Amino acid sequence: MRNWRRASALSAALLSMLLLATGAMARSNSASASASASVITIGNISSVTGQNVLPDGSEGANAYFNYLNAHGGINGHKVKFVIADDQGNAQDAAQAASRLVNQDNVVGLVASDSILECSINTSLYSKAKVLDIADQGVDSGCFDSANIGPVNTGPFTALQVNLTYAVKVLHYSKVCVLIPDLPGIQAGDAKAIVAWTKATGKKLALSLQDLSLTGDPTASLLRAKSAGCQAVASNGPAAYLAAFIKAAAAQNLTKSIKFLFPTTAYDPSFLSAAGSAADGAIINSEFLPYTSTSSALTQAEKVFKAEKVPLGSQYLGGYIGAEIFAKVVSGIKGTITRASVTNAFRHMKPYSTPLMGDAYVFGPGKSHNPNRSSKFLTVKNGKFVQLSTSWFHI
Amino acid sequence: MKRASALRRLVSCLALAVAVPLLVVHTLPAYWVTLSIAAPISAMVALSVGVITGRTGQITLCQYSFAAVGAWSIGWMNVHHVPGGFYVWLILAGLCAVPLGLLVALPALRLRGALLAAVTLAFATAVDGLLSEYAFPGSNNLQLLARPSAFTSDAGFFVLCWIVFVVIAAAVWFLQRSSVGLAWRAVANSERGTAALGRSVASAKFTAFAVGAFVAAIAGALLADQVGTADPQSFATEQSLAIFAVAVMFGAGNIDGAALSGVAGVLVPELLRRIGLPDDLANVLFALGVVQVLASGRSVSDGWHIAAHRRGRRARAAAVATAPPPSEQVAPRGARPTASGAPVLTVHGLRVQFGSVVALDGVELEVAPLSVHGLIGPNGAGKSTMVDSISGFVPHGGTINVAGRDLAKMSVVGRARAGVRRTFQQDRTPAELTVAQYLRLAAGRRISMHEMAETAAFIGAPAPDELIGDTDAGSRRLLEIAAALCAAPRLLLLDEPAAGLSEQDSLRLADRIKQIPERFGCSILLIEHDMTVVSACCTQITVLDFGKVIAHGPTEDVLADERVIEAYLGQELSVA
Amino acid sequence: MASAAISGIGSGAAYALLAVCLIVAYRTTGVLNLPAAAVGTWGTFLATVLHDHGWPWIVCAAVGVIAAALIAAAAGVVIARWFLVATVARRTSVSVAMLLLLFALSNRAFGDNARNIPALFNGGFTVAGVVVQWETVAILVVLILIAAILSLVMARTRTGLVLRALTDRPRTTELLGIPIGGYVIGVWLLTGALAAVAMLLVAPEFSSDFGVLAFLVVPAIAAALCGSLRNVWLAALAGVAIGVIEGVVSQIGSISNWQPAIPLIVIMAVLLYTQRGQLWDEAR
Repeated sequence: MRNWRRASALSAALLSMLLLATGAMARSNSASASASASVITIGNISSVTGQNVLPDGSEGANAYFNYLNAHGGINGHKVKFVIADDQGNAQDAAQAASRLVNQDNVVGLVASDSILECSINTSLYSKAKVLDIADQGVDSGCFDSANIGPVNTGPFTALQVNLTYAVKVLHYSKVCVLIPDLPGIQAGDAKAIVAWTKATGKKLALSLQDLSLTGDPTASLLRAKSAGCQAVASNGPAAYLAAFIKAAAAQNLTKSIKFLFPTTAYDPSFLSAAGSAADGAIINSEFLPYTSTSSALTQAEKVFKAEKVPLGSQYLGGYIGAEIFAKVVSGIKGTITRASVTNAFRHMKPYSTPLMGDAYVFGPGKSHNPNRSSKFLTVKNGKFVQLSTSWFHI
Repeated sequence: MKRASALRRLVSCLALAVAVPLLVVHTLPAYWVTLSIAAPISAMVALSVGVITGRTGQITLCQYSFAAVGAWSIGWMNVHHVPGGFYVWLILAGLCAVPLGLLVALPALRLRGALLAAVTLAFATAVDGLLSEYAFPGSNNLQLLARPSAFTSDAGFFVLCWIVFVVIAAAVWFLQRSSVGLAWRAVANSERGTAALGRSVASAKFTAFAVGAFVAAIAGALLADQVGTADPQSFATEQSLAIFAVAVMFGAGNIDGAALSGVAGVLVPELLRRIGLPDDLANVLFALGVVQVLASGRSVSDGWHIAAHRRGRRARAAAVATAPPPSEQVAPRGARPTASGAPVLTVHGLRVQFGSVVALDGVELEVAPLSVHGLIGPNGAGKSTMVDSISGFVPHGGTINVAGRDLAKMSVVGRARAGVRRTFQQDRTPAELTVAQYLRLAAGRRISMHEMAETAAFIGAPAPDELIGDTDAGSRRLLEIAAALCAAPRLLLLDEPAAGLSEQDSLRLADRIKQIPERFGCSILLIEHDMTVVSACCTQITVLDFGKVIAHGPTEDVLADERVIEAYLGQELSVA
Repeated sequence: MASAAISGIGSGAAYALLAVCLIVAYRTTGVLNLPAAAVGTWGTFLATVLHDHGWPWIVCAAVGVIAAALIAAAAGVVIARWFLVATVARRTSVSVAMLLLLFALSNRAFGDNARNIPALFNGGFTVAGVVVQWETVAILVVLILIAAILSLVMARTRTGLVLRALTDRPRTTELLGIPIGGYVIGVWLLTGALAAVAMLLVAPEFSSDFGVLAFLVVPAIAAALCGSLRNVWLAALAGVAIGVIEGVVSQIGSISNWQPAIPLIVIMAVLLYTQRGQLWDEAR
């Protein structure tokens, strides 16, 4: 009897505290919106937690901005980089965008690394006249919006790149595709396959696009074996690809079939999860391979070391995005506001960096996908080894 | 007096319904308005848990899966340009989930507790997998859902969600006070008890799941409409687990508990975010909170409600008049039996067997109209088994006729509705109902407050506005009898009604039981061990021993019978 | 088709082992242990964290088992203290809360990167063109061992007798002077350790995602129910059968999409059959 009375008193107290706190917070927000003019607030929406996690891009951008702040900022202004977590679900992505745009009053979003925020937030961005710049897009909305300009190739173009590489450079005739059922990605993949067929005139020996993201792929791999596939291109997050190639190795298929993976596999976690099964796999890098010894990476390595961030493909993507933003915005004459940032990007000249195969440009168009180049690597004895010397462009 | 307070409550609810959206839209900054949209949506999902688990006692771990069905349905309707527009789509989306709710309810007819939880969990993971295979309609070619034209802004959309929540909450509130909702509560307490009241357990569970699926699906459709598309992650099994915890913690069976759940779902993560903690720790807090609530036994809102009810009761107790003296007679349904006439109960060759144990062997029994017939015998003789078989809980051989109808193929509910009512040795009254609600549920017909109060007072049951949970065990036994009487039965089976009563109360009860046939027009089969009660009110007695009838006839003769004395009464007993 | 069926034995053995663990837990605690796989996964992931720091896998695995045992023991403490005589519905709600807690904390504790869970036995042998892993054989051997030990303990030892009494009538057992609190916590400790052993053997076969591994409890429940939560041999057989069915279904184009629904269909079919006679709530 006493227990519930105490419990309900406690909860009533908690509730009133919550309401008071809410009121205070809501009021304090509008106060802080009129921030000091010397800070540039930049937003970022990434799938930091949740089912499909992609936090690395935002960390790479964060490292760049921290380093930048320690070395003078942008034209003397410090950067405040706000990373919002969308937890991989649509409602949180919408809330995160609203928070950044309406509450934090960001001048732009940079290096977002989310699995679904583009298609959900594009109308908010259009209404607020804010740009989502140089993100690492995953869903098809990222490559189909007037307000979003990704810095990466994207999973669909990457698939087309891999298939083209298999046919043009590796000279395979029987190429297959085994893709898991990623929500919203299927149509983009299908379009990429059609584009590939049109460009190369080849057809797939086997196309399975409904593998379970979490189940055992063995049965499908055996079908690839009986179809005589020489090369199999797949797609998906690193964890999935690791399990996939392990299953293939368990069936002794990695000796007879060449597996081609997107940039998500270009990550140490893939190597450690896949172990020796990964040997021989071909992996696509959408940016300059971070394991290479090119001098172009020196500055990035320095920044990452100073900020204690590991060097990796996704981190590098975020770094590149942040660098693009800083360089373009530093060219703005006058105050740096949302309007001036948007204007600068719509009228920018292409920005070349040795870290990317194509120059990045945002421009006035209705859709943006500037990066269509990759370099290839393979895995030997548990290490990444670079295969291509020049950029492979489609 | 009652009407004034009901009117006051209605006005304050309406005021709240209008004040909340005004406050949100006009005082909160834009980001908070966006955030608030989630509150009525998750409040609705919590409400759906409240209906199924809170009220009907069936554990459901798949409410967000029903929400997903609603979301995917409205997406499909959008892509295929189904005529009717958004509001029609919203209702249709809700209806799309109802067949699935009934499908999940099917195992609920046979399973309880952890087994049912396992089924709903399997349903949730199955839907998880299927959502990944079947992309949200329109997401592949960016055909997004549009918000209805009157509610396009975030503030407008919040108002839409709020209106939908208020409408649904009101509908659920009325449903919960109707006999459907009272039957839910009875099922949560005891399925046998509910069936014995003549209420179908199956239909109670079906309606609960159907309503729960409908409400959750509408919430899912709104969720999809908010962002224009839906992703499987928003409807994942973990979300269903979380909303289950929140709903149980706050008592989402009550409307205010559901609203609180929605608010907490929004505020707690935001607060965590403010103090720099990751907002997915909210689920940790909810998990710990629900364990605390389960240990204490009462959800947050249930605690308030009971406290309020008790305060109200104390206020009313001062004003309430003393119970009116028993006066009119209650008319039974159909023709009123006369004292002479065909027997009300005829049992012929009744045989009940449990495995290799024969509990009843060829029992013959007749109960005359408007009489009290005693059934006595040592423990294990088969008396309760007999009552169980007459009321339908136990399969039997032989025939049982009540008022000329063969009960052979009838279920418990059917027999109860045919006029056979019984009480139980074990208390099966639902503690959360008031006496009046329980009597109304048992009556199954339109019954006036006056008649209920009268019947209750006659037998000595508590006053109609008492909460059953606040009464003592003895009063509840009398309440069961009162409930059976309110149903105007033909045959009333009383299973040891005087157990645990003092001698004075036993005699008083015996006196009342003697008056029942004349007042209520029914016959009674009375199982009792207390011989003073038996000899005070029974006109005929049947004696059972080891499942066989060893004596039957007028009271005095039977109680003086040698065989009966040897088997049961003992040599010392002398019947006055 | 045959190769699809044989390839399903791998995951089927995993379901079978988890089902046996569930039955052990049920017969010793009286609770259907929904968080079993989640507890085991926590132990496994902790082991991988240590492994990332360079410790040898056997040591990490041992630590993981101990950790899982402690987590389960904590649940046992909560149940023994407040929920010993609670209704089944209430105890089930507590196990749901525990599952939620483990989920919510796993994200914080482990992030979501791919984890390397080394198999304890590598390599395999070929059957009809399909390679069957030695790990699978190990799983089946462990399964048989556990089942045999359970039958022995429950039927022939005093501990088994106490546990049977405890799960049926806890208060009565307590009145007999038996320290039920200790037994309850001890049993939960063991079920936690068992779940971790099972997950260590099973996890390498599946994606190293916490959700995937924790919800392996669903097909495990389906298999356990085929054994009516009592018969470990039937449950093991059912687990393997479910794996085989999943493998076969995934290759039939027209119904391959419905593979996630297989445990649900099995559970419903089994329950509706075995419970067809039971109309009424046993307790009330």
